Amino acid sequence: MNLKKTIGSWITDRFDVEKIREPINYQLKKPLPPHTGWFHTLGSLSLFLFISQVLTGILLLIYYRPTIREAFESVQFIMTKPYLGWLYRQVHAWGGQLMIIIVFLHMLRTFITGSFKKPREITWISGVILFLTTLGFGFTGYLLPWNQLAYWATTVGTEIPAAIPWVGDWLKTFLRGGPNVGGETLSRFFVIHVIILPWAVFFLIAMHLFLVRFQGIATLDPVGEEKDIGKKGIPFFPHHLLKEGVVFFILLGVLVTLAIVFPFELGEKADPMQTPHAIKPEWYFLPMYQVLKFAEKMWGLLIISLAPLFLFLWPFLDKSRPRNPLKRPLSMTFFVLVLLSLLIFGLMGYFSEKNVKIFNTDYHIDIYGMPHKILPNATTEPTHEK
Amino acid sequence: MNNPNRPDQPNQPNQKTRRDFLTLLIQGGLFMTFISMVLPAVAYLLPITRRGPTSGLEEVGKEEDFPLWGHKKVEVNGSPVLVIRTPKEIKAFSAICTHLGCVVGWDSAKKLIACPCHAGFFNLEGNVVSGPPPKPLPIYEVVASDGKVFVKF
Amino acid sequence: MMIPAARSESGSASACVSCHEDIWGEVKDSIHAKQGMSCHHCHGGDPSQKDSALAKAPGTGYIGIPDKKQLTQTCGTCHSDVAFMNPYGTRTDQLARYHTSAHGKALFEKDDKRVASCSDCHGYHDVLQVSDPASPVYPFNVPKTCATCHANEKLMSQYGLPADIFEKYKNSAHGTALLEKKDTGAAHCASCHGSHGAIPPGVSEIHAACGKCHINEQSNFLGSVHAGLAPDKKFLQCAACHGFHDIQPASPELFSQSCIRCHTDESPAFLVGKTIQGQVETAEQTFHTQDQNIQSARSEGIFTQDEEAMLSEMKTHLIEMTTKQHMLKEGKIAPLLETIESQAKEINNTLQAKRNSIRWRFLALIPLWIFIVIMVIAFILKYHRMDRNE
Repeated sequence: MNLKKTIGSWITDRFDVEKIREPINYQLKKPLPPHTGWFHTLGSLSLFLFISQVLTGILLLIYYRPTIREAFESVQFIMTKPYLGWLYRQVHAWGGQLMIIIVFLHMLRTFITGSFKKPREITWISGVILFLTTLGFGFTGYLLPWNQLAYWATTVGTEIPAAIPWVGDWLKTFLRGGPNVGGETLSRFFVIHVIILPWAVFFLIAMHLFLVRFQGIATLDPVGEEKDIGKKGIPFFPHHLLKEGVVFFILLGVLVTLAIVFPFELGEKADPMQTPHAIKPEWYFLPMYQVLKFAEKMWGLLIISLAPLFLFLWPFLDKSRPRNPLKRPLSMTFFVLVLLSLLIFGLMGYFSEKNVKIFNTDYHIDIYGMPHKILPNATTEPTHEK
Repeated sequence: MNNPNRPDQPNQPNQKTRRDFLTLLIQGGLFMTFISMVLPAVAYLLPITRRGPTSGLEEVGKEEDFPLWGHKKVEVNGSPVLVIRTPKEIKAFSAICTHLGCVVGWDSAKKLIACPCHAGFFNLEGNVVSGPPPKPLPIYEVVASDGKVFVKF
Repeated sequence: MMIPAARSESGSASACVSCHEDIWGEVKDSIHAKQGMSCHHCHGGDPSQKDSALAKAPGTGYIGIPDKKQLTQTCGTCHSDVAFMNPYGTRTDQLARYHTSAHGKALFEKDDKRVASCSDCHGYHDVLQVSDPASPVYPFNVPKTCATCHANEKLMSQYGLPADIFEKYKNSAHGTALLEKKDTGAAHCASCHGSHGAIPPGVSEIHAACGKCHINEQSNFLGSVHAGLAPDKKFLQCAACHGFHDIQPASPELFSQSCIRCHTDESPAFLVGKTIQGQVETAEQTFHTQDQNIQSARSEGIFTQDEEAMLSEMKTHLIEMTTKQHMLKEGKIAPLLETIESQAKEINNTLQAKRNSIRWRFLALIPLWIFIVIMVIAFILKYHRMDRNE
């Protein structure tokens, strides 16, 4: 106790603590609107996951080596030799997957509760950028173990921007650092994954959080008619923080459980000479991948680049005042349609080039996601007939 | 968390101990969570007895470990390698016989690499001198620097 | 004959060809024609005479078609001449060896014209180099070439020789290696019997014939109790257990099948064989068990590099054991078996440890979730308590 006091007075001697305490206390005790519930923990969950990714990422970096000669071997080494190395790798891999889900859900929540509306447009835009950088993390991180799946998914993935007129080829070469996916691609992706994106995300999060705290959590009141929360509000500290504690522990448990029960296999080392059958990108890119198959490459590219554009511009397109989802039928219909199309295209992408059994009949799902009955005697793949 | 000196309702002493227990539990739990994250991370960082992956060079010993015709079987990148000091230089060969995959050794009397299984013999160029091996032994590049001997893989 | 001049003389310049153009067609691609040899070098006669009667006139040395004995001499004029053959790098002892062979003895001592001489194996007009894959004496073709006579039942019965050797050989370990896998290193007829000096190896030389390739097996065999058996005991050395023309890939089963031919099943010698069989079989079994073990561990997602390295060492010892068993001394096998078994145990242990650690991961989830549930409950209790205080 005495020590605590000494340290305390040592600090108060040098800093005007009282002056800082005031705004800190204000921020901590600032009441949140009464509808602030479990869904409002998604933002902090994203933050937890980001911190977890940074910490496990640092641990992995200790032994990881970003060269085509050693990347695969060093990941194998991490998974076998150092204490709990396997756990850190699995938690990092699963953390990435969960982060994409949770950031996406966080965005959905913001959309449904109309929180993106005036005056919080900038918060929304920074959030959209954060979502896109999260996808960027997924895309660049996927290549780093340098296994077959990663190598070929990246080969296909970096082929996409090549469809852009005029600059496409240059962009592809720029991304890959050469004509093919190789050592230079690995270096580039490594730098993006461990230096550029983390710092970008760090500052974006700082800005995002500042805006959230500065402007306060949105109520469900229509734009311009916000009432004072007053006594009904829930203090951020300690009330809401306790809720976050609950989800934090559950998230921790889920992460470790996933890492143990459904570990990611490392598979085979990348072999540029051997293309595996039906290469697909990670699940979160599947809807985009499927759309690209249908449309002429450039048109498809246009369509899929409209999606982020729409996300950015949404607060300026939808200037209606109500926030309550029940009073925004048009927005909600549009929203459900977008979700459904993502789901359908994603599923089509997932099942394409696979054989499935539906009601005792075998079907071959072609590259476009269309099922074809497999005839019992057919030796070759069924031809296109509609 | 809560300020322990905060005055609680004095007529509920029972509640007070329960609350204190709860606070203690939460504080202890958070501390345990922290510790159980930090300690394994430290263990993860501890130097590992077996060296990590290296950059295509594996140290196989010091130069004085290899007197003339001195030889040593080492593991390089997961496969056995035979290192031999000849009057001219230090040479390294894959120690896997090209016949049936037995591990070869050095026959100091014959000055040849010998396979114990079917009397296959290889010379110091890795070529088959006699016996059933169909192909020469692959040769690894050896780098001697600063008194240490490295095998490239 | 004017041998040295042969090299410069062209066959097509010979007058023989003007009548025997068809035969020259056979000869012109042969190794002899390429080296500038012509008709008269073997058949005699005067190639400068345009008239056929004058070309074959007495005094020209014309012999026409040489008979078998003449043939060996004709070939021998060049092929036994050390100085002449030297630049070609071929040996010159073929004729001398032929005289020692069963074929040569029959021809020269018994005047038996049915036996093989030079042209029966090498061809006559269209003789190719031995290294030419189309040559009848190229390794792949040797068994077929020998079989032209030795698979002829009528002919062989006159000598009391079997005519099924080719059939037997074709299905043997050597036969399949040579004829199906196209392994030029595999033993064919001449590898054991010799070519020009073809003769069945004597009973006491069998080990030498097999030992040309199976060096370690031979030296180990020579250290066994059987090595010193006098030839009159009719012990066939290697062939006693492995057979000859229809040799099959060896397995430890041979101990059960072969020893019994000479030893009773209660004799100590038989029991030694049985013991060694048991040792080798145990070693093989141990190896396969661990091989399976590693494969299934790999399919479970366990990294098995270390175990695979150990398995390859086990394999070395196992193969070593299969050569050492020819000493027929159980004491020489036992240490190898011990090493194999201890390595198997080690593989088993490390894999088990890896499997256990995975099982522990699952078990660790139980306390983890208990802890999480306690924390969650504590947080919620705290939340409600504060709610009430507000």
